[in-house]
Amino acid sequence: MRVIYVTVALFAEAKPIVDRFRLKKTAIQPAGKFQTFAGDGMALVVGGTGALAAAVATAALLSARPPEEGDVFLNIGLCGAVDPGLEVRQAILAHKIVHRETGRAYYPDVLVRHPFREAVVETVPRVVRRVPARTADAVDMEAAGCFEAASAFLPPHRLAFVKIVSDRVEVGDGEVEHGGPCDGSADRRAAVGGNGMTAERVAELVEACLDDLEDWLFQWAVSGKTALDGRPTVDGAESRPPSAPPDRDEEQLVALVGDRLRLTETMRCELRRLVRHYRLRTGRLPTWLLDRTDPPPNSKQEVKARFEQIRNEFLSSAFFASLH
Amino acid sequence: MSKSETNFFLPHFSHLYIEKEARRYELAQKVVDRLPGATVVEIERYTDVFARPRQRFSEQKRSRKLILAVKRPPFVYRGADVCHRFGHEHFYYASTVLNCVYDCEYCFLQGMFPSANLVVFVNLDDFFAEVDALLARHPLFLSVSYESDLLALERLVPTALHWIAFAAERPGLTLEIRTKSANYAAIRRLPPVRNVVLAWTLSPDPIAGRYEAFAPGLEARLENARRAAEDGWPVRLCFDPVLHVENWRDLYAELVDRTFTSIPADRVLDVSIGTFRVPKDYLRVMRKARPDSALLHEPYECRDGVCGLPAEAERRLREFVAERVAAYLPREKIFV
Repeated sequence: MRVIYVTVALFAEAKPIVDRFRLKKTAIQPAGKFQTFAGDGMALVVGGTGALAAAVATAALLSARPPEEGDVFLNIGLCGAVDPGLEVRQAILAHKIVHRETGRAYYPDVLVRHPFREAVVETVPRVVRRVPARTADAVDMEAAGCFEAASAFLPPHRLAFVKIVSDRVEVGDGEVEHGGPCDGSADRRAAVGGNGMTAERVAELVEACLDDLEDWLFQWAVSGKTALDGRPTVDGAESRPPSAPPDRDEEQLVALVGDRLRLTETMRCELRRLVRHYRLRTGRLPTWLLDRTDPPPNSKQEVKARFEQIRNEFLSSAFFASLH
Repeated sequence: MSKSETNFFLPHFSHLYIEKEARRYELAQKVVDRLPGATVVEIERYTDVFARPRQRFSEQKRSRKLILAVKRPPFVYRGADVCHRFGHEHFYYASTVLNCVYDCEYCFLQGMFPSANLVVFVNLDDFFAEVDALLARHPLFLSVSYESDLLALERLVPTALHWIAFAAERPGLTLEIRTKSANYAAIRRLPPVRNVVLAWTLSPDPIAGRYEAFAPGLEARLENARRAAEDGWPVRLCFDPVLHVENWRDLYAELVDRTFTSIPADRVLDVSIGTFRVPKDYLRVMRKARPDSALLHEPYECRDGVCGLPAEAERRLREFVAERVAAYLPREKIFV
């Protein structure tokens, strides 16, 4: 089963996702300070605000159950729109993330179709309501940290950063932090990141994009299958190429023959390649190898001779004979 | 790509990454104009995108992106020993484009580059200046399509035209533009240039169909090569790589016969013949990227860091094709 790893900053952002995907509260090991939720093919962490917190939470989530081929990572959260063309409630997909503090830029691969507008997101260290220049289309506080951590586990085409516009950021002289009045208590303000929004409003904004997100997310998660897994299809159906065997069978055969004949590691490596090639060419496992393991060899010289015999047998098979 | 995949993946060149510095070059502007629907992303250095860690060549090739960049020195490199030098003493290559629009299963580029995206270097004049500096010392054989297929990309990125115009005024330069494309029409309006060799890589149809995804079939390549030869261009035919597949003798015998039925032998400059060979490190990456490729998992031998069929097998393949070509061309025009 594919897993979609999700990092959000706030519980208010997590709530609609937890409800929609019926996630259950869980605990990741090693135990940490983070709230985590998991469900059918999804694992979510609430990491707190800021790039550093996001990076730590993402790394903790991905370390708890290291991703496998095809798993994807999603950072979802709110952002401020610097581009006046962006509407409040609009969801954007980042194709470039700039980390204000380090100056580094990150580029998630955008390979599959999606329903979002694409944009450049700048990760800033604090909530702002004015920036000195338009260096990005939107500002957030976590994306760069999430990318830095998640890219250590997953390739860039399996990372996505969806941001929902919560408010506007002006462009003008000097940067101004968001210190405006909040319609809740100080604690409540802190709980939603300090930009003067209620938890209900945050949840409402995330909820509004979930229909689009859900459809796209599960299609996207299907696209990461390797040739061995089968060709990716929109409906999720797999078609295994006839020549692509499960590695496990080959590994078991190589291990069995290797143990019985007491092959060295180098010999096993070569045997692995020969078995793989034989199977790709013929569609069959060379189970005849097992007949060559009896009786077991008595000396190192005999191991060497028996392996050479097997090697020659592969190379003189019908296919290679065409070279002579 | 299947229909469902086509509907699922973004089209090739949906995104155009441009170095800030590249914007001021005319070639960059031309490419931008030719991709009006592309999402443009500004970048600092092309390596920020092209050389990211953990990229998947096999996934990216389903939706390749284009990166426009400014190359820094050096611009021209000495040719590798595993490549034919066609009797030229000074063999170099230059890459104004990195990566190829085709997806050949045996291609070394997938082992060489960390990304399937294409990089176009837009500062052609810097390449030309370095070639001029070399020409001041000695004549030069320069291949400009080793790490890409320029002609295949010509409609979008017109670089072959510039190279041809440059070579036309420099008799000491022999330029080779190698291609699998059927895109000769993109340069057909140019008068042929004696020191510009148009080289077509030819493969039997079953091999082109199975191992050379997205590349035109044999008939289209032959037709393009024939037209170029008729127009007076020096045309080179490359049976390279000759692959060790089932019935290889029948396939390559038929290929050679069909080739010289289509193109009169006296219009062919020369022929090169080579077998599959790839640096060991590249092969390791290629095998990992294509675990289902029987071709890449053959038990190749490694000699001097280069993997290929056993020497005797290589010789048999090359000699078989050379013998067949020798029925049409004198031996001195066959480079093995």
